[in-house]
Amino acid sequence: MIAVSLKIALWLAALGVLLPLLAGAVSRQRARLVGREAPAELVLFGETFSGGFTPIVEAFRALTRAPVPVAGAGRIWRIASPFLWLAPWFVILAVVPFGGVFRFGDTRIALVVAETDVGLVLVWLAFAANACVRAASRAAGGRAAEGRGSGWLAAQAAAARAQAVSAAAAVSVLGMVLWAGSLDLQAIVLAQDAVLPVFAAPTAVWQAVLAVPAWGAFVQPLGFALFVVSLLVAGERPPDHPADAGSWPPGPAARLANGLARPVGAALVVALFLGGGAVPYLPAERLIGAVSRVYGEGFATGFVLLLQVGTFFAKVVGVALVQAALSDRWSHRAAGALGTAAAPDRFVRRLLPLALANAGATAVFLVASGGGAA
Amino acid sequence: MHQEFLGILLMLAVAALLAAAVSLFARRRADRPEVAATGDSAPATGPGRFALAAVAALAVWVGLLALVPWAVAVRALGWPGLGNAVAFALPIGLGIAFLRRKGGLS
Repeated sequence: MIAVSLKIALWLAALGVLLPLLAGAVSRQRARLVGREAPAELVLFGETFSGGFTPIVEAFRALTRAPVPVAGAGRIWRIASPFLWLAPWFVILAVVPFGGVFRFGDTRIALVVAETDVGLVLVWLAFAANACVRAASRAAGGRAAEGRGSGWLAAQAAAARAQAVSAAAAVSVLGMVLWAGSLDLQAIVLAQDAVLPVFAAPTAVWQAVLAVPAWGAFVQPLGFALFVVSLLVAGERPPDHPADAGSWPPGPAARLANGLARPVGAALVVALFLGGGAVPYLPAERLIGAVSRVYGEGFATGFVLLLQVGTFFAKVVGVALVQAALSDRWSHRAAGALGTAAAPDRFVRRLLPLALANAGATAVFLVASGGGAA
Repeated sequence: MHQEFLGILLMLAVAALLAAAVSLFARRRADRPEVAATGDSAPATGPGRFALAAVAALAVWVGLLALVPWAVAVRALGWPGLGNAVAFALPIGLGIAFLRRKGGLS
């Protein structure tokens, strides 16, 4: 119980730093793109704060903006929707490992909140749940503002789009399941803590130079690209929700959930495709062995544990910042070219077939070669 | 065994607390709802096509979950396993392709 609580506290502390940081980065990026100055002042109790407080200002403003009223949405939906928006992301956080498994004598420490061997199934269910909440929210908002018929139309478009994107994200990681032979995210992370063998290298030196970490991004490049693109598209404003029709998503909990989507998505990208907390070219066992020769095994294990946690969150920050930059540039370009801030539907419809083709090709390769991590 | 569910339940409790806090805080700042429901006009296209999209999504998700046991043991099952997986996925894939061709997903 204490260990689980400590791990949850670590996630909350990380989110407490990441969310304002990302909100500030996104705000500055958007301000640059549209050629205006980023708002940088926070007025609290009559005092004006500016400069380094920009990220906090942006997070505070995003969370406290008045919600879009949805008078016709129904009381149960209004009460339940904030939880339904947030719950899928917290379930994902519970199963994403932020490091490997360590032993201090008889004590075993796994750096994951919920150590389950079906973690990826829970991630898929969370994706599906999030897609359903998006569609239901659009239906409720649409019915309140535009009448029941328009609400159904909006819900239909939102449901088809959200399900297509989240199904594409789920199928794009099927290749990693095939390669690692497990649905356990911890096992998938541990399988990446190695170096891929290099064939046809003339000498041992060339073998060392050409070696790449056994990260998902290298063994499943198409799956990696499709997963990242699916996450980018999932957070976008729907095409039937024009920029001047109020804020998207519609409500403070939904906005917080959309804010959470970036760090949680980045954590998933890091765990599934970038080796989790693994340090490139330095597998944990070898590192513990090297350090323990000088400082003893307990210190070495603790050192590598902290190193993996730090490496994991550093990777998450990097991926989240890159995602934010890509997403805004893409949206800005799409808005200029198409008059809407959403990715073209023709593009969205190609994600799922590509992801299925990637999974099929991976299966054929693994059966034919007998390769993979398992 | 219960430890894995304890972690997930605690995370859900955190989500519930956060949702309650955000809702209460936002409600204090928000103005009174001004947009009222504007009648119950009949659906323009009806929920029929919505159901088509929902069934297609369900088929993808169920197909994906049903393929998971094969995906975990793909090497052990070899070519016969791959053949079985294709035989299972093909009708679902053809159904979705047919639905898409008929405009059910547009």
